[in-house]
Amino acid sequence: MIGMALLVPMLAVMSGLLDGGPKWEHVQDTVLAKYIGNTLILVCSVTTLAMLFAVPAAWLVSVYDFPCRRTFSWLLILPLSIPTYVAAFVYYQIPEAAIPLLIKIRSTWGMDVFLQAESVLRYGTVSVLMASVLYPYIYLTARVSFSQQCRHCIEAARTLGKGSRTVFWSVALPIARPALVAGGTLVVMEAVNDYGAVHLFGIPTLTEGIFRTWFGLEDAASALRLAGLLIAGVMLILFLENLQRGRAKFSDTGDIPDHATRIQLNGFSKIGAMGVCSLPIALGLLFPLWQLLIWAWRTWGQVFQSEFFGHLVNSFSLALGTAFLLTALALLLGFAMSLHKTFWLNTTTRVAALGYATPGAVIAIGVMATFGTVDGVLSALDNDSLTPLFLSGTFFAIIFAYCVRFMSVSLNPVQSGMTRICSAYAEASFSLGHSKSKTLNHIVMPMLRGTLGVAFVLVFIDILKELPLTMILRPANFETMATIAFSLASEGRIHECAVPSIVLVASCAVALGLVHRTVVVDD
Amino acid sequence: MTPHLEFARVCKTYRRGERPAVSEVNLVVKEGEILALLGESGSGKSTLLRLAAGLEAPDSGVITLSGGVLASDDAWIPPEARDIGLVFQDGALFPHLSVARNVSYALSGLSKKDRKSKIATLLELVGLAGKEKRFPHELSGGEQQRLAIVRSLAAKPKVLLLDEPFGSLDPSLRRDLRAELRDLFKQVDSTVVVVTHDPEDTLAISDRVAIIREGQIECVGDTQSIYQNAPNKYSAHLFGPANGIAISANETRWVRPEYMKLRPVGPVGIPVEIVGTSMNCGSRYALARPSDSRFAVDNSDWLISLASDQHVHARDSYCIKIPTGRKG
Repeated sequence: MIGMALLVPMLAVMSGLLDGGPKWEHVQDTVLAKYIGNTLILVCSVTTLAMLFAVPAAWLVSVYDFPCRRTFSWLLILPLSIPTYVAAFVYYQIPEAAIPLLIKIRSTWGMDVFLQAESVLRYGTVSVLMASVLYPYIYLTARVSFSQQCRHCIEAARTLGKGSRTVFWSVALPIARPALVAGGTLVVMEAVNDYGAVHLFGIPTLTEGIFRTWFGLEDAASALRLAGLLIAGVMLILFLENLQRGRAKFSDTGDIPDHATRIQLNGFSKIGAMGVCSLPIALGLLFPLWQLLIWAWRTWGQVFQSEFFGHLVNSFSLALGTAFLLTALALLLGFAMSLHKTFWLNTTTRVAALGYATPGAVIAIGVMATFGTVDGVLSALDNDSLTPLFLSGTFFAIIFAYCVRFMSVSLNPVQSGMTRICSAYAEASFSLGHSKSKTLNHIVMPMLRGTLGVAFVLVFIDILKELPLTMILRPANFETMATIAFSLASEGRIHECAVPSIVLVASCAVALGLVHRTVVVDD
Repeated sequence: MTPHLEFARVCKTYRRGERPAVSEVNLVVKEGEILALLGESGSGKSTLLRLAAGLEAPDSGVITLSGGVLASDDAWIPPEARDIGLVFQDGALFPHLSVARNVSYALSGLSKKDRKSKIATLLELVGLAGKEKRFPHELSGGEQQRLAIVRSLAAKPKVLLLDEPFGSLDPSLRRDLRAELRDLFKQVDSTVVVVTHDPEDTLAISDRVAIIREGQIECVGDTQSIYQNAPNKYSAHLFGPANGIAISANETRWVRPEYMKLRPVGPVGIPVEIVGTSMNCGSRYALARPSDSRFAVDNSDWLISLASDQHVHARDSYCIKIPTGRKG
């Protein structure tokens, strides 16, 4: 039932592929190529940069020892607490500061060169800002792979006489490939999902195109078709990676050693390692945070009004409530899956994974299309109703959409926890004559307390940061920290968006800290 | 045989305040021998292996190979420059490389043709010929372990270290592989150190054994003589079942049932005589392997019958049942 419900908005979007709207030909002739081209450029540049930030840093903190290594190892995760649109508010200064230089370019080399330079600057800045806050997805998976999964292979290669550079290229990197691809896929999804940064920098991607087509051209069917194209692209990426692995297996299932001696770096290598680790932290954390603090200091008087606290309560109540709901659903689903590994339960997991891979704007469109149809049917049945909107524009719609998008965020840790520790204990409880509900209450839930906490916090962070989905589906006059920050920035009041941004960043950072304490990365 | 790999007063503690993993270890591995490091879990045997391989650095002490210092307070040779091979319990085979490429990875300085023929020779040696193109997960457990060993041998290490090489194998495969490997090591004249907690592995594969307890070497010597005549009670029991009595050997005494591991169904004292080869473990304790033990009742007051016999640790072990009634 849950799986089917989660699947409905996706099916609604995919059905859009079959039938374009009245303005589809116009979209296809004028902007579609640009949307797809921009999305591809952004995805490639952001993922490449994120890999360059994440992989060397993860390798260094996993294998070598140098001053402040432990501090770097957790600081490198923190940029994840900065949403891309918040980083965009700060990085927006760079093209503005470069205007005198661009004018000089125009006067020296002409208009064409000026336009090219301006584009390079805009696309470059967006790529750097996105990569600098999204690289932790790759860093985290690479770190686990280098320090745990392929530790024995790295050690074996060294005892076979290979230096650490050869070991990195010939052993560690190929074995870590699935982990890097998993992290890289998350970066791709987040880059595709982004609406705030690309909107601010005027880069029309497919996500931006969905907004423009639905709300600008008022053509829902064409917007659905664009969303369908996005999902098809995402599925193609996942399929290609699976195909490319071939027969080779990449995971090293060896035991994780309790202790690991790191290679001591000296002299210039030590400084170099510190520099490699400092760069992404400076770009993704220190620079945005420093600028936001300066702006917040200047504008806090204007921002701290009664309305602000209302938005704060909205944000937290929505995020906390939905996180609670999703964690509870994940617990029930995970428990059911551990007891009965049926086709439908496995399908639910796959649908949930697809939901997380799908951009928020696409899910929002799917939910709007589905609920619009349901509303139409209901209003036809209830002729006396004053409003035809039973579901659309309600909290139910937005919470349902969050469930579709973030089900896998809560389900994955709960499922792995169930597999790791609970199945044998649950069976022992059944054999002692206890019912499923009693087993769930007295055995499974206490044992999974930490895992449930992690699932709750991860969903909470994601919902707090989510922008495009919230923008489309929020009830009228309902603002969250994310939407208010974005609205202020869109109105050109960039400095005033600092306070809500800092609230977002601080909440996410605290939540990330809690997760980091629970999920111990080998140190 | 000349000293080859040598540990002198080597200490290693992982975390401050914890018991040392290895403490004041002095040990010599001779050239061409197979030495087993036998100990319980957490006794420090794997740490000793990782110290030799250079994957851990000692806190103090000196490790040398053929007279050259590998690790000391002033010197440190990294693992890749030590000429010491290490085979992990799980094999640590590179999962993304085929069988042939796993072996090829360890070969260096050979032309393409020589490399190919060397790989063929090595795989032939361990019965993996014809499986060159397979990936590690497509091999059986025993084949994976043989591949891991031959990959290490391909690098021509001066010493080969094996960390619980039979730990993940089922008993029949284990038995076969032990015999194969001993022959292989003798054939290529390797110096080998095998870490194990299994006395059967030790007896089957090693020339000498070093028993390690709580990070310290308890005793070192020829495997058979340590088995038959362990210098202390711990070493004797680590090697397998033994009957013990708190007297000197070859003496008849009233022995309490618990020394004989008998159920106390009879009276507290049972007269038992231990004859045959017994081990002197101090002046007040004697041990004998089950196969070397004979049980006798001094005045035939009690019936002692053989209740069952089992084949344990390649030796006969007897379970003795004592009825409550006297002989009629």
